[in-house]
Amino acid sequence: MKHFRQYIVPTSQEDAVSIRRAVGARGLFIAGGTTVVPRAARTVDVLIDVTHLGLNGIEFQESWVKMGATTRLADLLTPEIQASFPVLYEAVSQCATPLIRNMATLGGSLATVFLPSDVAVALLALDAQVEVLTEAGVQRLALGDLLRSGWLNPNWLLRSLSVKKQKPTRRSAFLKFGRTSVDIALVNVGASFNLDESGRVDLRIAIGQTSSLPTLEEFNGIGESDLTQSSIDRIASEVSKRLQGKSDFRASGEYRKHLSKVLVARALARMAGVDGYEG
Amino acid sequence: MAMKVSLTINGESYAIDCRAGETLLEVLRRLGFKSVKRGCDTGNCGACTILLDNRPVASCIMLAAQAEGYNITTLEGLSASGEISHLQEAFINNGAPQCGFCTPGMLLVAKALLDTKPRPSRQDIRQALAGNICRCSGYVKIVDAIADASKKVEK
Ligand SMILES: Cc1cc2nc3c(=O)[nH]c(=O)nc-3n(C[C@H](O)[C@H](O)[C@H](O)COP(=O)(O)OP(=O)(O)OC[C@H]3O[C@@H](n4cnc5c(N)ncnc54)[C@H](O)[C@@H]3O)c2cc1C
Repeated sequence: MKHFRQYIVPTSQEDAVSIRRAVGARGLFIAGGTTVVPRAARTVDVLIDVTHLGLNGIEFQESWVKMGATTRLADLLTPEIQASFPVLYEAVSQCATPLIRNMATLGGSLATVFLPSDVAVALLALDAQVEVLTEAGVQRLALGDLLRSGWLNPNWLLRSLSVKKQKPTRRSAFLKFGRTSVDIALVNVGASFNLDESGRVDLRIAIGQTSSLPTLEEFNGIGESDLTQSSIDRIASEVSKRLQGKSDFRASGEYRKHLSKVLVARALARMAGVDGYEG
Repeated sequence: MAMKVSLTINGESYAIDCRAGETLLEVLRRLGFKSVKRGCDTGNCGACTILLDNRPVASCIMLAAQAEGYNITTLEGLSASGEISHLQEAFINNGAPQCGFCTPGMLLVAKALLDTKPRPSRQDIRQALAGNICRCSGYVKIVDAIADASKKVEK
């Protein structure tokens, strides 16, 4: 028996938001429940179910792919997502176990960014945008901006995530290091790069688990020919040096910084097609 | 706070008085579906596996209220006619149950797998079982049993 005292199934998204506002920090939205049920604080006693509000499913639009917040992780493991966003596909397939992926949702995985979230790291690398319903109406925000402002407000209802459709020249990769896939990653890395017509590369690297929120590094306009083994090593060292390197009972900060360097180098090598890193 | 929840379990409807904090695992066991086991209570071990609309999930980290509107299948549902399924038979023939505690979860995952992919590879089987832990640690016989059962699935 868990400590929750009330379970509310709102009939509209607006109701969900106003109930959360009315009950304040005593209330939490619940989607798959895989974090809320085992881990919610004792002070939370009202749960607001968001899975019946029409926020489910993946839509391939003209230039965006829009994924509903209550889409189950297992439903993201499609050939289309694999072809369009390898980093997201890889992150989801390495996240937890099949049982958990059948319950856990995209929105729940993003809101839990303060915990190790493989999916959030992948979405940061993809420069995803979120659509949230706030008391002031619907807003669309870039994940990078949310990261700078301290992340989502718990009063907001996440409606969807959108990722720009990728040009064939965009590549991405996800890597994590942990004992097993169910174990929490010591470090996870999502990276993506886009090659423009003039051969310049825009690179985004998101790294989780080295501070309380993921770190996002952007490199604009590197030449493609610069992505050689030596420049990959240089970028990876540079990124790793800048990390905070959180220490906890799972790993020391120094170890995490080292892992980050290795994983970033492997991710870049994989995207650039440079061999010799996976050993 | 007490609440009413309607659940569909193995094809039958139940109107249940429960508490907001009761997990699906607790309610199922209270109703007598004792094949659903309490193991880790954190979603890691898979002993509490049930099917929700034919997909395996961990019932220990799910509230009963969350399961409204879904079709729940427990292991009891695989032998509702009084006879065990060919999948269960394959487990017996291959010596897969061992101590038996993880077996209900393993069987339900196997059923969901074979329903969507009647001819899985050994790798597919292992991946499907990734959330179900056997502390007797004898996975080979479990994989053998599922592979064996897949040969007898009528198409
Ligand atoms: C056994 C196990 C193994 C795991 N392994 C991994 C792993 O390897 N990698 C990893 O990254 N994660 C792992 N996790 C964590 C898992 O990914 C999260 O529990 C899951 O993604 C949360 O999604 P959910 O839908 O269940 O969220 P819930 O538990 O329902 O909610 C989580 C949070 O999100 C909020 N929320 C949910 N939906 C919305 C919405 N639409 N709008 C606003 N707020 C919302 C809730 O209020 C809550 O704060 C594991 C979890 C378990 C139980």
